[in-house]
Amino acid sequence: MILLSDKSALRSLSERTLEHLPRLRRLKAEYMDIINGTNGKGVEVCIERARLITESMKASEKSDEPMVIRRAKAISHYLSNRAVQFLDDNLLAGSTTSKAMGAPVYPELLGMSIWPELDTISTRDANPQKLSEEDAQTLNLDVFPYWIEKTALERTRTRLAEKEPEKLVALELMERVSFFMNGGGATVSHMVPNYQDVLKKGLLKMIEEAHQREVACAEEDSAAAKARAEFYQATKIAMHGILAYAKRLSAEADRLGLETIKEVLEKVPAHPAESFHQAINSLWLCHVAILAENVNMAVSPGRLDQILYPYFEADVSAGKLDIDRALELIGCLWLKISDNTNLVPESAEKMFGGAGSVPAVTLGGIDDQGHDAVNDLTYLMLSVTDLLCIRDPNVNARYCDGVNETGYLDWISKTILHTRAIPAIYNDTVVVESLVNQGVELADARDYAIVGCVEPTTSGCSYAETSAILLNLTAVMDLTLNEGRRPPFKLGNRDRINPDFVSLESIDTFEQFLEAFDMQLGFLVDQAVDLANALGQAHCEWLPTPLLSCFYVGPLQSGRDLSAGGAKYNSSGATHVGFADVCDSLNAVEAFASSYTGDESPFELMRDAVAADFVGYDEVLDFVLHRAPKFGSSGSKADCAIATRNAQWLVNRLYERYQMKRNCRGGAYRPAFWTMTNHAGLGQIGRALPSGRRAKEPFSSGITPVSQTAKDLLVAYESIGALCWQRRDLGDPLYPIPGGIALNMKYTPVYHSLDDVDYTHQFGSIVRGYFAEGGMQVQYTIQDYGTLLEAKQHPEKFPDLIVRVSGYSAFFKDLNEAMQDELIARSQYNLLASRAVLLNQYKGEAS
Amino acid sequence: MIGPTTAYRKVSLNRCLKKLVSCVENDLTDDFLILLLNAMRLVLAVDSAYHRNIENGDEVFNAALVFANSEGSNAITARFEPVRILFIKRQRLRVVRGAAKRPDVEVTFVDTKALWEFLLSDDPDVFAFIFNNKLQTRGNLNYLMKFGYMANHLKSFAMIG
Repeated sequence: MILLSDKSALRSLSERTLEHLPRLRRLKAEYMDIINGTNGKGVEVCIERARLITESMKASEKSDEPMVIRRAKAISHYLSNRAVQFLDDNLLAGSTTSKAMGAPVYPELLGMSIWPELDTISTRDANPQKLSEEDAQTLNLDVFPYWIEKTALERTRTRLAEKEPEKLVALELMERVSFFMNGGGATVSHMVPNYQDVLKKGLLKMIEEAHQREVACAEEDSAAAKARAEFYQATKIAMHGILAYAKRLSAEADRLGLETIKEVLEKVPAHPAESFHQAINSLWLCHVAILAENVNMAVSPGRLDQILYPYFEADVSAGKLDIDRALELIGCLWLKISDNTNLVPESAEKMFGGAGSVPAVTLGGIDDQGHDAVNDLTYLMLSVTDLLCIRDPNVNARYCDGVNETGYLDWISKTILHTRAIPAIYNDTVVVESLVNQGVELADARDYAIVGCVEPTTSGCSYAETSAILLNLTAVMDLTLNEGRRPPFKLGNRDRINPDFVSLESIDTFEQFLEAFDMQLGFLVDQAVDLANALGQAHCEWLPTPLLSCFYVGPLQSGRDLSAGGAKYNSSGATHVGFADVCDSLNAVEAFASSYTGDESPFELMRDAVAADFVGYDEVLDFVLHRAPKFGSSGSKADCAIATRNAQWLVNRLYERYQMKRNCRGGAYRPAFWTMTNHAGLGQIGRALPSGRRAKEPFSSGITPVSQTAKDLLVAYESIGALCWQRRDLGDPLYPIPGGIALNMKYTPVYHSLDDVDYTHQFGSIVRGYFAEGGMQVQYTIQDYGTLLEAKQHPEKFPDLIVRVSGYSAFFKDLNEAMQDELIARSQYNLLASRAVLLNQYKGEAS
Repeated sequence: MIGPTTAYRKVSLNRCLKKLVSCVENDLTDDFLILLLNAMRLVLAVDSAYHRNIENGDEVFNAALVFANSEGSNAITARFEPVRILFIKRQRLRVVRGAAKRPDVEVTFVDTKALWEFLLSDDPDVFAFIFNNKLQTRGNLNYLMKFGYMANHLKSFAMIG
C-alpha cells in the first residue's frame, strides 16, 4: 500500500462522492439515461461487426485458405474498417460497438434468433433494443442469409446427421430448452484472458514472436508444422487488426484535439505500457478486440488490481498519479466495460432478461505465493464500484482468512451494504483447494479469477468454457417419477424420452428410487455432454479463435488454437438448475415412503400427487411441506441428517459423473451450481415437484435453499459449507464443486446504522464463519420485502435499484416478472438475529 | 406476357388478404396456413421489395418448410425454389399439399391457433409452446426464423393486428 497505508487515507477515500469526480458523475448520468431509456437514449442493436465480418467471410468463401486464416482476416477486416468514435468524454479510447451502449450481433452463434423480430425489437415492451429500418434490412438481406447453414449449432446438426445420427436426440432435447442448454451454441466465450503479456511486451513484440515461431515451423516438413504455421500467421493477422484500430483511433483523437488520448494511443497497444493510463487503455483495446471475435458473454477481464498495480505504483511513486485521477481512470474503465449488452430476442428476454454481458472483475485475495495480494487498487476499485453502483462489471472480491486483513473484509462488507448488492465474496481457501484438486498447479490456482457469474478459473491459462452445460435437475426428477417420460414432451411420436427406466411399481425402498433417479441423471448428463462435445468440435473446425489465442498462456507456445486445446488447462463447466428443489424432493420421497402406511405404493402415490399439482392430494402436500426435511433448515437431528445426506449424495454423484467425462479438448467437466435467471424462467414452465413446490413456481436459485424454508441463517450457511468442502474420516477432504456456486442471500437493510462499524464487522464475521464451515462463495441483496414489492408495483420510483440475481447484478426493473417474484420471495434474514423474517410474517405485520 | 398479369395478381392478393384477415379475426380455421402461404406467394409475386427476401441479386433462398398437425395429416410444404419461364429464371414460393422429403425444417403444431400465435402473435411465448408440446420443430430453425420474419412482414399488407 503506498497511497492508502494509513487509516486517515482510507477514511478520506470513503468520503469521496461523485461530486468530487465530475467526469464520472456526467458519464454515469448518461449511462443511466441509456439504461432507463430517458432523454432520447437507449440500448441500440449494432450491426457493424456482423456486416463487416460477413463481408469478409463472403469474400474468402471460395478461397482455399484454412478457416483459422479466414477468421483472422474477417476479424482484422472488422477492426480495420469499423467506425472510430469518441461519443463522450471518457478518458479511454475504443468501444465495443458503434453505439453508446450497443448489442452487437453474432450471426455465427444465436444472432439470427432476432430475425422474426427485426421489425419489432425497437418497440417491444421488455428491454427494447433500437434498430433502424436500414440496419434491419442489412441483417435480413445481406447478413443472416449467409449464415443460415453456418452457425455453430447448424454445423453441429449437419455433422451429427452425417456421422453420429444417434446423437441427434441430444440436440432435440436441447432445443426443448427445459432439459438442458449448451453454451457452445451461444455463449462459448466464458473465460479470463491474459492481459499481462501485452502490457509488458506490446503487440509489436508479440507479433514478432509469432513470426519467429512461424518461420521455425517452415523448417519442418509436416502437416502438423504447416497447421502451426497457419495458426501463427492467423494470430499475426488478428493482432495487426488491433493495431489498425488503435491507429485510426489515434488519428481521430488528433483530429478532435484529444491530446492526452492521442499520446496514449501512440504508445499502446503497439508498445509496452509505461503509465497507469496507458496500461488501462491497452487492456481495454485488447478486450474490445476479443469481443470482435468472441461473443460478448462473460468475457472477464480478471484480476485488474493485480494486473494494473505495477503501472499504478510506478506512476504514484513518480508523483504522476493521485487518488482522484486513479479513481477517474478506473471509473472510465468500469463504464467502458459496461458499453455493451447482449442481443436478446423477446421470448428469451421474457425468460432470462435483465442481464448485462457479465464481464467479471476479481479483486483481492492472495498472490501466487500465497501472500496477501490486497493493494491500493483493490480499495480504489471497490470504491469506484460503490460510487458508480452499476450493473457491470460484475465485481468479485476474494478473501483469504488468516492472510488478508479483516479491515479489508470490512471494506468489502461496507461496499456491499452501500451498493446493496456488490461485490460477491469468495473463499480463497476452498476455491484454491478445489482447483488444485482439478490438477491445477498451486501457483496458478492461487491466481484464480472469476468468469462471468461465479466460476473460478485460473487467469489467462485456463480455457474453462464454464457455460458448456446448464442442466435442469428437476427434469431428472420428472423422468424418474414418470418412468422415462416427461409429459407432455415427446420426441417425434415417442413419449418416452429415455427408453431405459425403472418402473415405479417395482420400487419398494427409497434406495431403489435413488437408483432410478441416478439412471435418469446419467442419461441426461450423457446427452448434455455428447452435445457439448459436438459443439466444441464445431467451434474447433469452423469458429477458431486466433485473436483470443494471443491472450492466453499455451496457444502461442504450442501453435494450437484455444478451441483445439491450445490452453495450458482445458475444462468445461456444467451448472445445474433446481438443486435445492430436487434435494427437498428426494427428502420428501424418502420421508413419505418411510411414513406412509396405506396400501398403495408411496412412490406411485407421490407420482400421482405431483402429476395433479397436488390438487386432491391435500394430505400428501401437507406432509411434504411440513413434515419432510428441508435442505438448509434446522429441525430434528434425524431430519438434518437426511437433508445433508441427500444433498451430499446429489453433489457427489454429479461430481463423479462429470469428472468421468472428457471434453473435446481433453479436459474434465466441472460441476457448478449457479443459475443466472434460468431458475425463474424454467420454473414458469415446470411441473410440480415432490418437495411441494407447485407447478410454475420459480425453482430455487443457485445452491441456495428453497425460499422461505431455511429459517436459521447459520444453519443455512453450514449446510452449504458442508457441500463445498466435505471433511471425511478417511482420506483427503472432498471438493466436489470446482465449477463454482452462487449462494444468494437477502438481508434486511439496517437503515439507521448503515455506517455502523459494529454492524459492518458483524456482517464480515458471519462471512468468516461461513467460510470456516467450507463455504465457497456468497452474494447478497440488501433489500426488504416491502421495498421490492413496491419496486415491482412502481418501477419508475426505483430506476437504479440493483439486486443480485444468481451470479450477476441487475437492475430490478429490467427483470421479468417471474424473476422479480423470486427475488421478493427469497428468505430475508435479519443479520443481528440470524433469523429469517418470513414473507407471511411480513405481510401479516404490514396488513 | 407469360402468366397472370400484375393487375390480376393484385386482385387475387386483395381477396386472399381479406380471407386471411377474416380467418384470423374469426375462427382460425384450418385454412389459415394455406391462406397465409398463398398471401405470401402473391405478395412475393407483386411486391419487388418483399420479393428480395427470396431473391436478392445473386443470392436466392432455396428451402423447404413442412407444416403438419400433430396427427401428421394435412401436411403442407412451403417450397422456395427457382422457376424458369422461357429465358427468365425467377425465385418463387410453391405451396404443396403433403410433406416434402428431407425438408430443411419441420413444424408440428397441435392446432391452428398455436401456429398462428407462433408465427404472427405480437406477444409470442415460444418457450410455453415448446414446453407444452403445442409445437415441435425438427431441423434448422434459422429457416423458420426467416419465415417468421416474412410472415410478420405480411402484416403490413394485410393489416393484421
